[in-house]
Amino acid sequence: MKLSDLGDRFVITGSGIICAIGNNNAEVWQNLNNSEQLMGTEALGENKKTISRPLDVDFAGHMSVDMCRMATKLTKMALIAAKEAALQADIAGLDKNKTGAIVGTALSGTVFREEICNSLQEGKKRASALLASRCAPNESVGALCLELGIKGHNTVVSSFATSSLNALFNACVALACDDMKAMVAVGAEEISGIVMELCKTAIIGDQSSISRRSIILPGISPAEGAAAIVVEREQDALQRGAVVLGRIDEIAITQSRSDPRHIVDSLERSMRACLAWKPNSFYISANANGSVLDRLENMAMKRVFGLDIPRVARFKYAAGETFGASGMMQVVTAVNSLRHDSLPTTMDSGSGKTERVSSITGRDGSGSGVLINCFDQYGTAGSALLCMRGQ
Amino acid sequence: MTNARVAISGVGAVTAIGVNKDEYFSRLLNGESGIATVRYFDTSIFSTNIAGQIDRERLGFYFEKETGRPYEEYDQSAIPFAAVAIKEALSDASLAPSDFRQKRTALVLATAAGGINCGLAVHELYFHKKLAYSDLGMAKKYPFHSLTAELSDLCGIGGYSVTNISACTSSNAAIAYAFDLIKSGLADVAITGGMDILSPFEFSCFNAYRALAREACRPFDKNREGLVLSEGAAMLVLEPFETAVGRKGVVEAEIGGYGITNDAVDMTAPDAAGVSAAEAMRKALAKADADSASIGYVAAHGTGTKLNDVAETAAIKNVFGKRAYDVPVSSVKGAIGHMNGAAGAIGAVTCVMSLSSGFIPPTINYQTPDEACDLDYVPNAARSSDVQACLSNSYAFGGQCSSLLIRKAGDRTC
Repeated sequence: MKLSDLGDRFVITGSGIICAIGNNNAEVWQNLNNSEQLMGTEALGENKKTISRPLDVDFAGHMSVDMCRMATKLTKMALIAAKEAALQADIAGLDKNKTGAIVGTALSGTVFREEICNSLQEGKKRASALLASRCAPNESVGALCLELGIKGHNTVVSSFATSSLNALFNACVALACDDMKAMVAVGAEEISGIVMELCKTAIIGDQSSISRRSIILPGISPAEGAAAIVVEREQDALQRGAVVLGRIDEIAITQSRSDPRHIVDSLERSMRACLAWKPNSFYISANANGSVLDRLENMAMKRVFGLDIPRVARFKYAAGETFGASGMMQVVTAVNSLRHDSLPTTMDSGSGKTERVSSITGRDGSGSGVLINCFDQYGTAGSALLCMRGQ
Repeated sequence: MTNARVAISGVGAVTAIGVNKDEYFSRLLNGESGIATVRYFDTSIFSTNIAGQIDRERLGFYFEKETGRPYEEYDQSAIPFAAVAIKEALSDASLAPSDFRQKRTALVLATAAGGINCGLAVHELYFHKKLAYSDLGMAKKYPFHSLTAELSDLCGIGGYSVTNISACTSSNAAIAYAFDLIKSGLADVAITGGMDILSPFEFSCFNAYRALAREACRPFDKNREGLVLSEGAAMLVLEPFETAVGRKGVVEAEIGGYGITNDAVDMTAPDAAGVSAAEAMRKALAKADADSASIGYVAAHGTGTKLNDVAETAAIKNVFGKRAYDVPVSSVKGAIGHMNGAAGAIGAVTCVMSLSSGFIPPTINYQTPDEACDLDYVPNAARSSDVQACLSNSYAFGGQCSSLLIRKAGDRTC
């Protein structure tokens, strides 16, 4: 499925982020450039696996007292990222009935489901109403609507690693088809002990040739966080004089069978769909979560680019694998790198060396872009192409 | 953007009163109830022991026949319910998986907690520190999207997939999104709907909300005491009208439009005035270019909880004005319970069946009128009616409101 088939053009007018290396855009960008890695690392679960999560967050300073007291951490992180994006996009004056929100998440509620499951194991009669409500994934979008006063199209979607790319795709469809003027698209994730255990044991699959390996070492570093953007139709954004941070040229998402061959096929198709736009200068923001999936991504990139693979950036060495939020994390990082015309310190896929690139603008000065990859062991693969042009 | 009309070319249903759409609808019209004592787990620690349950023996037989896979491999999740409903919907649409090869296909499903029993099993092992590599098959079926991904494999539907997880509105939201994908020309065919399975976890949550009825679900009745949980799946096949008619010859129903809004008033309780719920219905009407006078039936969310039924009644009055008293409104939840993530989808299938049969299903267990709920709820007996268009409502925790407008396809110009 390709977004460009809608025939509309979509732009990003605001972005927000909270993760293990910062609690807002400025902090995250600064720490990326300082080569900070996984600053908020803590031990979680009985096996004391490390998890990366935002530190020193002033939740109370970002939301109502009730929300701060009642909501899950996932919802609070989503709110912080969404408020930063909404403030930057200056959407407060828009018709609330024509402003919507979509949250993408893969594991929402597992922390509290775990608590209820434990209470059931202990034979306790029932969970508290508050605990039960925290298990519902739509708590996050309900909170966004309540705190931002949004009354339009709102929902929560999931497709594992592509959850937040799917949220962005859904948001664009809502703009084009449901008469929305602005959509807040959010990716958010909170990690529980059992997720850590499953990561350790490998949720990669039990049948495939890539299955019998642990993906925790030297693999992924599970992480919590949220990222958000405000997306609008280009004509609406320009009409109201919004500052355009980037343009979404394409999002392509496919579902294949969950074996390695089909996963590579699927990712290749997604990338090729984006490259049909022939960006003249771009880098790849790789899924690159440090697991054996990296091999599949390399195979797909080689199929698409041959030996001439563009510069590959990876973000997860710094902020960890945020599962359902990872796509939006990459989108927000891409928006920042486009804004600053600078690729943060990253790992070159060929040499494995850390390098800093000062400019990503095309040699002819005509613009720059980012090709974002997201995929997972469930056979869902997505790519997005963001460009600077359109400002 | 093609702006195509969106045909419902096939439907399938697996509910507590039937494991196919015809059995479901005929027993629904007969006023039968599928609510019974829970057979599959111990409910002694909860305030109620009743629920709507699938006849899993029969369902297992159909699942193995349709997929060639052992039922036991999947019986802890809602996957078998959904697989059987998808196969029925595809058959009803005269489509086979081989027909998808040249099409841009979308699988847009919904669930509130369809994999939760797998999650419970994994949690139990984790709790007792016995989680092992051999349990990964079970663990894989826990995350929300794993159900959709597995169904994509089982039913041979590749292309694009996403899972809506907006609790009780999730399948209405999924259907609305699938509608947009077809209408805009992004997809050639969409299989959409919802699924859920009963679990001690859900019982625990709704028990905590004090939302469960002890004896029966009595939507809109003065003595209603809450909802009854249930399980099942309902699926629809959506296609551009011209394509569906070209293949099938006749298409009986189409989706005219939808509305999705948010109260933005309270995280848990619905807005008693039903303002956003009314706005969702108005948006569905506007999108379908229809007038409220064209609506002959409202498939209500009608959970049987004190707050929901009053808010929904107020919303219907807000939209229909004085005519609200003349529009038949019914809830199927007295008969089959609340299917959560599949609630909107079974509402949509019910509308399609009402349009094609000319019968409106009753609200069963309705005995005592409530002055706060004073509409025509089609009490206890089905009614013959030449319905041309219906609204199907779903609401959820978090202030979410959604409505679908489903109408006879007829010969309306494209």
